[in-house]
Amino acid sequence: MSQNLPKATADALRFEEKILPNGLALRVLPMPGFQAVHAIYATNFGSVNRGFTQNGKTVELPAGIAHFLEHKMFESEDGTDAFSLYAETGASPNAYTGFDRTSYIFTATNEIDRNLDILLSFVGHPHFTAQTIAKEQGIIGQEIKMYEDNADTRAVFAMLAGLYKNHPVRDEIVGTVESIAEITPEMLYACCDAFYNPSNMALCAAGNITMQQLEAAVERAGLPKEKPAETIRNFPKEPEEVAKKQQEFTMPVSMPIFAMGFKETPLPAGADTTKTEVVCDLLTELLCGETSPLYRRLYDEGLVQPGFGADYGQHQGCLYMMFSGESEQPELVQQEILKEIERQRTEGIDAAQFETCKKMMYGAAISDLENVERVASLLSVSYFRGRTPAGELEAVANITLEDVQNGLATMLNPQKCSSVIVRPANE
Amino acid sequence: MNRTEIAPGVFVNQIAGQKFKRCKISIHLVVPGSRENATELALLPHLLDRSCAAIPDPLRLSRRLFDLYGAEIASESYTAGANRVLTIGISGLKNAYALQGEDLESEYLTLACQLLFAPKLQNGVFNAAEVEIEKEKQADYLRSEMNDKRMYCLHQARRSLFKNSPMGIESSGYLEDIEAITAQSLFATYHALLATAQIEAFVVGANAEKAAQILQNAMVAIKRSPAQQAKPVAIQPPANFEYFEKPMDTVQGKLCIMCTSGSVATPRQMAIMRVATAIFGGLPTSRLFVNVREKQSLCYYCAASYAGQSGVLTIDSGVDHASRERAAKAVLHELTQMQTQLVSEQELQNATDALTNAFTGVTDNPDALENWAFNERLRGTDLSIEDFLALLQNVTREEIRTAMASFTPAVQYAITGKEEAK
Repeated sequence: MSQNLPKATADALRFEEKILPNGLALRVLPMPGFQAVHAIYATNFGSVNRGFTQNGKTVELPAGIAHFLEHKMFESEDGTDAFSLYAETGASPNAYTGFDRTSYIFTATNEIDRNLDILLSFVGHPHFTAQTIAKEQGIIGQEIKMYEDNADTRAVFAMLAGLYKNHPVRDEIVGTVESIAEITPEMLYACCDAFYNPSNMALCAAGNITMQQLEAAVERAGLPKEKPAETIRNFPKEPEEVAKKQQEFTMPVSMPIFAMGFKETPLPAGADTTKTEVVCDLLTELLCGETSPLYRRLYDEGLVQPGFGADYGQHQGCLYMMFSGESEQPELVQQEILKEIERQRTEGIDAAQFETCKKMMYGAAISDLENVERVASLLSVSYFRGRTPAGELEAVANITLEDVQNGLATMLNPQKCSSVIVRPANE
Repeated sequence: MNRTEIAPGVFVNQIAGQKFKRCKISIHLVVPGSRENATELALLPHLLDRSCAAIPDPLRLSRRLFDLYGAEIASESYTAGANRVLTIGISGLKNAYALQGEDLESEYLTLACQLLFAPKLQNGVFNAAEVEIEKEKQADYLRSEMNDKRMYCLHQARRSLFKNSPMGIESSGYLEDIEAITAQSLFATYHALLATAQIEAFVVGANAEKAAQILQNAMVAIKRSPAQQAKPVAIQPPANFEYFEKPMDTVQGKLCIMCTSGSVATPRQMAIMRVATAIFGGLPTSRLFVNVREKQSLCYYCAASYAGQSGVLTIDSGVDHASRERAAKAVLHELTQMQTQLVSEQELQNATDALTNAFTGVTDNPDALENWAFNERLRGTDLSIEDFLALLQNVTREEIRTAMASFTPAVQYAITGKEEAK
């Protein structure tokens, strides 16, 4: 793949960025001809952040608190909720919590400035009482139950709990009914102070919008001008070995579901993770993507279903690769995956397949740039990872076959593997 | 949008897409739905998208797509009202983004036509071994329906209400029909489809004249006798509100209520029901969300949707097993409120604003733009987004009350806990 990008590509990747004196990052990518705007106001506080120290005080948090806080953020002291404010503009608002970020979003084609005002006014200014917390525990309890019936989610989180003894990535993002019962107003306010301050947040937008609009909205919002005391994120020590090699349980599913994970060496805090992530991404495709001999063989032999594939996770203090799918013979499929890893490690990666996979990754990155939601998300995610969309594409262009082969030589160690099989319950 | 007939019953529709990075070519084949060939037509896209005569090896085809910067094939078969649609499409980067100046758009057009019109054959029919592979996959897919409890509950409610209506033919076919399918029978069904389907090609952001030429060349040997599209048939309300339950070993129950109006929606009624459904259960400020979920904490989700071709209003919800009956009562209470009282001016304004935002945003997405235009074609109404937005602005509170009053609760389907059944 050439490193000289066409002019159209370079133009499509151009965005504006400003870091304000209070530390808030603003990123905008205007998209000529588009009518909608997608805005994301995000903090790098997610489910894996379960302990921190600020002003010498250490706070421990129960599983699910970042997601719980996201739900509660929509309520204000006077009893109104942000949804009702957005209802007056017609915008489509939402929020989501991941392992290492919480994002508040809206999509709109009208009244953009007013929508930005709503977004900046409710995020970071919540109001909690024991009563409203108790009500939310009921609603989130229902959400937790919904995920408990989802076999794919159960398999993946069981696998993460098999890989990690202590790292909070092992706990479901929503927590459990028991863990969210521990949440108090004081804990939620402490999280707001530590993570919902401008120096820990980014406001990103794409579509029919300009940097001037973002700056004006921030000015109107009257956000704090000063950076608060530094927050140190605390993570428990994690041993190299996996917590459990194998797990099995039953659920009402038609065919066994499997998830097989590999615990990798995490990158040091603050390191540039771009190259490692590109290597992981390429390995998933090279080993069992649709262009791999393994996928085609397992598919045609009836051993896997169309959803079979691999993925990776890279969060603060952890890095893992995983393979998952449905199969009547999950043990055999897992053996075949291990054999294919070993084969490519020994024989080397197919150079032609490697080049086609790089072209696919370039195409996927450009395709994302025509969608206001994906562009704003790209700006936000890359900001919190300390990079730019152009830098990410450059990393794809610069990656070599040797880089991926070196990655394969040290990763996907069968000794650091944990597998889960969900078998059909006898109805 | 420009629309040109290039052969009997074959149309090329061009949608401008200068602002997009990708271009997209989709070829939709539309025939009246039939129970008899539903499973073969559901299976067909899986044979067509795995290879073609020019690229017979599926692995090579996958790598060819990656070489085209990850171009994607979209192949599907589904029921739309009383019709069956089979689609083969390709989307990928525009030429301007190619790293070595390749003519990607011509490649997409050629490949789409090769997949649809020049499949890989063995002894004049589909490859028997490959048919068997895809039959097994389709059977597994049909058996896996229960894995997603929300969809399973919705499908079961639909089956209980639609029964043998032509509107109720299954998109994915029938498990009991799979075994009898052969390479010969599938190929015969494919041949009949090419001859009788109305064909609507959509070209978004690419050269439609070139597409028309390549499509014409690809179809030159096909003897065409296109059939008329089937007209929609509204589902009639049953004599009594019917209740069904399925016990499953689940943590959370599912509840689906379907109501019927007994009539197919006109464009005006469609606009009224879009607003009514948004107020009833389509927005985070809707009656169902605020009153049933937020105030009474009876469920995690509770949403309403409306299908104009069958005249069916659906409410689906994830509920605690113990709260199911209370949730059902609360949903029906909200329905009665909408049927007997006018919504507020504020609710009407908010819903109209939300829908205006959402539908204006359709013009920013090539897939949504094409879906809009093709669905309008299927309905035979051909409304533009602008036409529809104008209709939305004139919906009144009285029209919403009258439209909602036309619905009768018809079927309630619930996934209950195992313990309850003991």
